[in-house]
Amino acid sequence: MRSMKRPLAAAVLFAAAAFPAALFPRAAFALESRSVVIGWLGQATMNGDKDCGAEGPNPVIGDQYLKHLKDLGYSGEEVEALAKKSAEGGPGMDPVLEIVWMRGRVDGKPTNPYVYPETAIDPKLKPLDGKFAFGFDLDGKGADQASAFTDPDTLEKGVDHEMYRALGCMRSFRGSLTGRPTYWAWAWGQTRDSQPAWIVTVTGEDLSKDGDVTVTFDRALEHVKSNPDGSPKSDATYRADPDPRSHNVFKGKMKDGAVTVSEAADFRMLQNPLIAPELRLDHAKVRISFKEDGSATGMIGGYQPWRDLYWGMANGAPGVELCVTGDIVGMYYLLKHHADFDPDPKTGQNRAISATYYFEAVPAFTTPAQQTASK
Amino acid sequence: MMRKILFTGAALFAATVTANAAEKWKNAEIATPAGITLQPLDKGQGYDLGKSAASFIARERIAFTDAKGLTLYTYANDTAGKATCLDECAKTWLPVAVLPKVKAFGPWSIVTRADGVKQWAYEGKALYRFVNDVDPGSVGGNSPARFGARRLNGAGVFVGGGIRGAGARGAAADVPLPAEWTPALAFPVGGVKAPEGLGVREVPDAAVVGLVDSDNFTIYTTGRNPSKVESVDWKPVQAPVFAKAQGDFNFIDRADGIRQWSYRGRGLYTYAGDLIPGDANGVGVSKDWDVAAVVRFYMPAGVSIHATPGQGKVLANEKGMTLYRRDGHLLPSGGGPNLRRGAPPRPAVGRDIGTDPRCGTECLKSWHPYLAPDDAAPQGFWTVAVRADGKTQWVYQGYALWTFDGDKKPGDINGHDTYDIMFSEDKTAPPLDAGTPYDGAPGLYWAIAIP
Repeated sequence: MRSMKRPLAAAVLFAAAAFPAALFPRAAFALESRSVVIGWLGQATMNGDKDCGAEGPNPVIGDQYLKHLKDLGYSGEEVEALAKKSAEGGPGMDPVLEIVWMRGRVDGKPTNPYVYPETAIDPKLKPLDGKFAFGFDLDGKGADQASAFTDPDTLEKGVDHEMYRALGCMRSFRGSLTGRPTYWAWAWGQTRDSQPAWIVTVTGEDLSKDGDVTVTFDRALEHVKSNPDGSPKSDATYRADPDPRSHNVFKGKMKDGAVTVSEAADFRMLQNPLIAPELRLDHAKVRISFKEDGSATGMIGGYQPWRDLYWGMANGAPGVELCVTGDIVGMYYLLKHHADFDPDPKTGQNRAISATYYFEAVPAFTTPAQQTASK
Repeated sequence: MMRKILFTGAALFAATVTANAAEKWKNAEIATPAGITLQPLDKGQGYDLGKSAASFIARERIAFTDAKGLTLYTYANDTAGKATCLDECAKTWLPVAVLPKVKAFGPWSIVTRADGVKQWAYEGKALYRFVNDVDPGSVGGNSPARFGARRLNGAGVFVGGGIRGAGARGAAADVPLPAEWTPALAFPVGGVKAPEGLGVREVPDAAVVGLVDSDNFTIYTTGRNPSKVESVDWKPVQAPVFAKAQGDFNFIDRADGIRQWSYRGRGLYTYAGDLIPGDANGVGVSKDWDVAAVVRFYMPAGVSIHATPGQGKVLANEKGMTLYRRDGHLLPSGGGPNLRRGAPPRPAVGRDIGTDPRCGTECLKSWHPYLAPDDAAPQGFWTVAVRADGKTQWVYQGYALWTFDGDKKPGDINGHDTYDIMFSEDKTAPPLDAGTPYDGAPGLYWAIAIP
């Protein structure tokens, strides 16, 4: 913590000068704040070798497509012939893709399965079988909830992270905090340089000591600024977007350089339709660990509308399915079956699924947006 | 049906347009008679951007188009004031007929064909439409929509389809436009030749075609005496030592020894607050500074261009409140709608969606159509649409315009990037009406209307 004194001191001066007093519960001069800009965000995963049973993860999309042909009633010989023709290439539409990309059926007629997922057969892809997952006890049931996970870092029991269970055997969603899952690496790679940065600010009376803090998540007006090697640049300045849709405030506690949000709150941040138009997490909880260089890692978890996630994949279908995600309709059924929050009053179907995201961040400065002159 | 509704309004206001347009022409505005609109061509339409950042897609060509956004052409064999494409030729190249009661003005004249049809001519050249053009923004029958989502084109034929359709094994190559036919262009502006080191480009943020420097940065002018311009924000545009005066371009020999370009008698400057080509942040800094405009695009009375904190300039209403369009989602290449200025409006999509945002009763309590007055005189990029309730709504570049209750002050864009995601969980798959064709699961979103 000692080496954090210099950036801390700068942050104190900056915060006092730049932030409107209305943001702070007490006099601005009495508070200290520290900001970081998020340089990586993706689902918090920790896959191992045996968490998908003896047969391993779900099949690759090519094999899955051949299974779909069989499910649609094609004989073994017909599937073999179609696969051979597909492999040969040539002009025109690929014969396998032409069928499986319209694998929905309504009155026997081919239907777009991504727009109408219920018209396609549930391929019954397997979910993850494991005991550990990053996340939070969102529903407060604790150890009494036998089916819940245990967090490997905090050892908290009763952790709700059903999105990890649902998608944990999809190859593109498997990985660890350092070995990025393919889907999230692709998504972040696509969006990082093209969507406004997210900034996290921790404010308290003395951030070098334990005590109460306020944690805010804001969208910036600028994109993440990068070093020549592509890594996020430290100590850059970002303007906070005044749009109220992307302003989130949590109450938390600082202890031993780590921040834990003690009161769950709803989280909403404009994101990117490539993943989901907004990242919405109800009853969200947060924890952040600061390193001596001022950088930080953190987890944010809550209940996320699973339809947002499905649509994020389905709107790019079928290309995204073939090249990135794997079986999108299969994941529709996985998400639907494992959703664990917000039941629809009419159908009882849960509309949200517990999820936890992991982020890495580097020190930054924030300032309010300045209006410019109009014509 | 919607297209019919959208542009019926244009005909209704024909007489008014003529009167106003004649006046505007004196003010160097790109004027169009009733029934003729403007349409960006090429990548400025938002298709086939590849990895290009949409923010930096300059609109290289803006064509005169008919009310449906279909490109107009001139014929090399025609002489001034005479249309020679008749009989068989006229089955492929259709004359652009003059609406009743509309009169010629400025560069717009009327040619009476041998068959008696009155046909529009621009700068003396008769105007035609190509029968193979069925989608807005097409040139030579090549629809820009073939790069987008699979959709029924204006002829009822499926085009596009991304990876599902033509994109799966490569999009079809362009059919070349016959050599004697040329799109009739509002931009580049004919007759204006900038000296070496200067250029003429569209500056959308100021709704003009204006002068730019060698780095394509916007150039400004002021009525002030150059010796009185002391701000470091305004840098004089220097002329090379051996440059020669030409046309409206001349020099000012300043007291500080700088030889400064002038245009129409006024000194030219760049603005330090412009960070990228296309910025026009110097507009509004002071009343006596403006973009060095060659011609201006029509803007309805009361419509302004307003700065926002993060998304640059937007169209705004009489109170300075942001105007929005309802758009169809397109899988972005690296961010899309999050980029400054967002994805360029696609020529067919706004016309497809029309005045029905398909966002439900609750949504319509917060979103309000930007209504046009009874005497609206649309032209250029602007048309009006007749709504189901009989009222008329402003339409800009094919997109009906809206305001949002969530905006509390000028510059707010709190409705921008608000999405309605769409897919059906009904096993019977009832038709999902996104208003415009789609490939993967569709989405509709509210986007700022950018000039």
